[in-house]
Amino acid sequence: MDVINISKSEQVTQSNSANDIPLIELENLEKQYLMGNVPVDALCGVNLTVNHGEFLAILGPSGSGKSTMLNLIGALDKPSKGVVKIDGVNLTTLNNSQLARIRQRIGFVFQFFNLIPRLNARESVELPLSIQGISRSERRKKAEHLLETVGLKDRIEHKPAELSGGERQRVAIARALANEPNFLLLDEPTGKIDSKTAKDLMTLISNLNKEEGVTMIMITHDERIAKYASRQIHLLDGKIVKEVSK
Amino acid sequence: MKLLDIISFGFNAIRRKKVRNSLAIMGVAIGIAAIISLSALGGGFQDMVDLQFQRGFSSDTLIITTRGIDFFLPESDFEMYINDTDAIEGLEHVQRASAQMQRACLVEIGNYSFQLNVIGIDYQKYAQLYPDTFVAANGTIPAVFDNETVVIGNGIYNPWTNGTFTGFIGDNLNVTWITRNGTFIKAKSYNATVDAILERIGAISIGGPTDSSVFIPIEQAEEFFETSVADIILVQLDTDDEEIINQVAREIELLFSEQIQVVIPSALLNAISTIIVSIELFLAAVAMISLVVAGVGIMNIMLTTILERTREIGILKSLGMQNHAVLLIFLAESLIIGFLGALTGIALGWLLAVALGEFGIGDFIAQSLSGTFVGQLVIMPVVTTTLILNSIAFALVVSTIFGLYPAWRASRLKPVDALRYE
Ligand SMILES: Nc1ncnc2c1ncn2[C@@H]1O[C@H](COP(=O)(O)OP(=O)(O)OP(=O)(O)O)[C@@H](O)[C@H]1O
Ligand SMILES: [Mg+2]
Repeated sequence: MDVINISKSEQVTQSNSANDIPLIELENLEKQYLMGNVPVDALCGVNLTVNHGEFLAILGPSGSGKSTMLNLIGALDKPSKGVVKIDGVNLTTLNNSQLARIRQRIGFVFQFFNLIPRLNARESVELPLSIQGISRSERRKKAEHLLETVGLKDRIEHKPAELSGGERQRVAIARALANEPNFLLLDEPTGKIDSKTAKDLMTLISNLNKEEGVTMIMITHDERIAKYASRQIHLLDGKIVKEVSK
Repeated sequence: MKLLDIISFGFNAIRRKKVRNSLAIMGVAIGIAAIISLSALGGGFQDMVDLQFQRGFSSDTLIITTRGIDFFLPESDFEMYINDTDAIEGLEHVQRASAQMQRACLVEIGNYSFQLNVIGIDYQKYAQLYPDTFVAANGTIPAVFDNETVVIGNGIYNPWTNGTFTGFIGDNLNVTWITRNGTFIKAKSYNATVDAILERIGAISIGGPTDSSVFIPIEQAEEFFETSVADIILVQLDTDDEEIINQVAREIELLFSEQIQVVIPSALLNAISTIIVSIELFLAAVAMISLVVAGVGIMNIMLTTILERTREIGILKSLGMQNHAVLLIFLAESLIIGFLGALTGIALGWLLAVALGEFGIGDFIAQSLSGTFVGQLVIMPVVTTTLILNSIAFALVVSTIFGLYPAWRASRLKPVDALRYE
């Protein structure tokens, strides 16, 4: 593992993009929120490139802009300035309907699970497939297979309230994988579960990255969790201040 | 997203909030039930009025009465006599005039006794005036005058329409009339023989025979009731031309120095229809208002739902759901509420109409309109397929109108804001 500064990392990403379009490119990304009339700078000129198959961890103190950045990558929010490109497509040029279609190719996993309480595990995983208009029988088959993959074979009919935190997060991961996404965005996936369960969950995420080649972009506070990643970036006050690659 | 999946998603959500959504459904159901029962009863009543137009009612007759139907004018004590018919028959276009006298009497037949209207009429003229209803079902209406004869309405013979008969042709019928002789109260009675039972008439009758009347010859009435004063005089013209009817009515009024009232039955029936139409319109307006209230209820519930499910909307959008699909999901929920409300309302309204019909709304209306007991009168509620389909369509339109704004708001939420919502 070696520590490199930002300018060096830019050189690396540039050399990578020469032969292959990177999965994600952030160029001078800025995001400003308005707190009443007072502008709050959440991101101040972030440049980042993520390649296919990477496992990137985003670290940084609370309020440093990690979630803001992830939401921009996930097309959930629009930047104040700068560009987000996914597979070379500039998101700022897309309309709402096109952005929705981009989101169909992204898997989200949130700290608070964000499962719909009335849906059981299978229905939760089926939901993104249903949104894409996939037939009932096909999505059922796929959902059950995915739940098996994340180790929830016996919890298929369970509602979120009937599942532990770790199990809920597995449902969320299965749901995020349902669309066969280009990449997974994970916002503190282990934030609300104990360290033993978190370790199992990280093994799952890490295996999905290594074996299935799913690109992972994960926010975490926890250095031990961040170790599963192949690359780490550290945010502070809306800027990338440190980058570490394995 | 497939339409069927949108609907089942909405249905699933509605099932989770049973109490709240049941209340919204009931709101719609009440409005629809009002519309269904009103239209069903209104339709039934209209059918009955139409029937009345078809039978038991002559468009070429006039009814002369001394009793005002105007509440605000002082009552005249002017009296008509039975033989005033001669003068009326002298008028042009008048075919015949028939005097009628009626008293409430105690009527005993077999083991039963009833308080009924005993009507003194000229059988021959009356049969000509009402050829469709003054018709014997059993026996014959006597052609020659006879003191002891009596003709009864079908309702007296068969009052409960269940096969229990009070008496038959040739049976004795006792008429008791209570009157005053100075300060004394005196009961007069006499025995008559049932010579004819009329066919069932059913509908309300204006001037004509009813199922619960007892008919005795006018000469007998004159003697028994000890008066020659006629209560009403029925006049038949040789035309049903409205202009001539009005003109003759005017001539008759002048003949009696405007001390009498001439009622034109067709005009009266039209007036009743008009009243019913306006009552129906008024009630329809009430039903509309209740549906608007139900719509506001739907809107309220949907706004609450959307607030509660803001995070869910964020999730749906993060999973790539299009704005229009979000709109459809929530619109579908309002529509499901509206649809279930319509179905419940149709069932309730139908029951209500049948119940009101069975438990005598017909009698009630008929009594208040005619001022007398007219026998059993069942309004058959008319619930047509068109009525059902219209009610469903109407409920769906209401729920669309009031569900659109909340659904639109849901669809416009920004994904991050929705996901962040606590
Ligand atoms: N909707 C918003 N309106 C106003 N300010 C916001 C909004 N969202 C975020 N911010 C501000 O932007 C900054 C960055 O927020 P962000 O949520 O990205 O931080 P974070 O790094 O994810 O923090 P944490 O680790 O606590 O989740 C913070 O100062 C926050 O207060
Ligand atoms: Mg955060």
